[in-house]
Amino acid sequence: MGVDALASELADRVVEIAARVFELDAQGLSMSDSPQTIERWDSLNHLKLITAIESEFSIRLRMQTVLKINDIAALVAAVQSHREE
Amino acid sequence: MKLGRFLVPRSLLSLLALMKWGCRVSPRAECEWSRHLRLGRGVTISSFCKIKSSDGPLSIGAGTQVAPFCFITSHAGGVEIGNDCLIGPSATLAGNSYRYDDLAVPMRLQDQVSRGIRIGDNVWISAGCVVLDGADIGSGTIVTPNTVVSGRVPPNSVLQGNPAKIIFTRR
Repeated sequence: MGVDALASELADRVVEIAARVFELDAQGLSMSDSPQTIERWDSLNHLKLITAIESEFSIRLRMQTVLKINDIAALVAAVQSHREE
Repeated sequence: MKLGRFLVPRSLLSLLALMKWGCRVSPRAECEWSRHLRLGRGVTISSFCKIKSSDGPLSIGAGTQVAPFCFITSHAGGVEIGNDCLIGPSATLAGNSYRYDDLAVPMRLQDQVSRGIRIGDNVWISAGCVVLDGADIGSGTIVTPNTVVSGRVPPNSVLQGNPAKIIFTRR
């Protein structure tokens, strides 16, 4: 599987988890979605999203990273960079 | 002491607590100054709180702040609140519950049971939370608004819901 395909698969999984946490349809979510565009993305659901992501990918993000994530694209990037470490 | 509750003006007791322990207890809070009550230095108890300590040990650690309308009651198992905690408005900490195993006897006439409540240091209990008898909350925990806690919670958890679930671990 190519690098692009792997990145795309990762993004799809992240979007799927976000959709589950925010109780939305994954088809309706995009990389640019953020707390400004998703009503349910409040501070508590942000933590729930991080916990779901950490559990799915068996990773543990640093608190500074957790607080910097401000859209789906940043979340995908955080997971990707953590996996590359 | 019970007679003293009615005879001694609350403002005088508040002044005494301020001078003796540096505690700011609102004269509009109803605080039972029983022999079971221990307040650490710099504790704040806001207006309209009810602190009931006559039935069991109740200790509130140094620097802890109790916001308005809280109800804290201790029984035989005790209530122990650590240092530097934040207890939000309208939170309830009930250190006892009623037995209900005899169907023929009204619950209010059956015994009370009390395992006690333990709350570590630097715990933030938000507005409207209920902490039930037997709760043991680890230090550094955040209990989000309207959560009901009844069991053991590891340190640095973030809790939500009824029953409380850990939604995140602080790091």
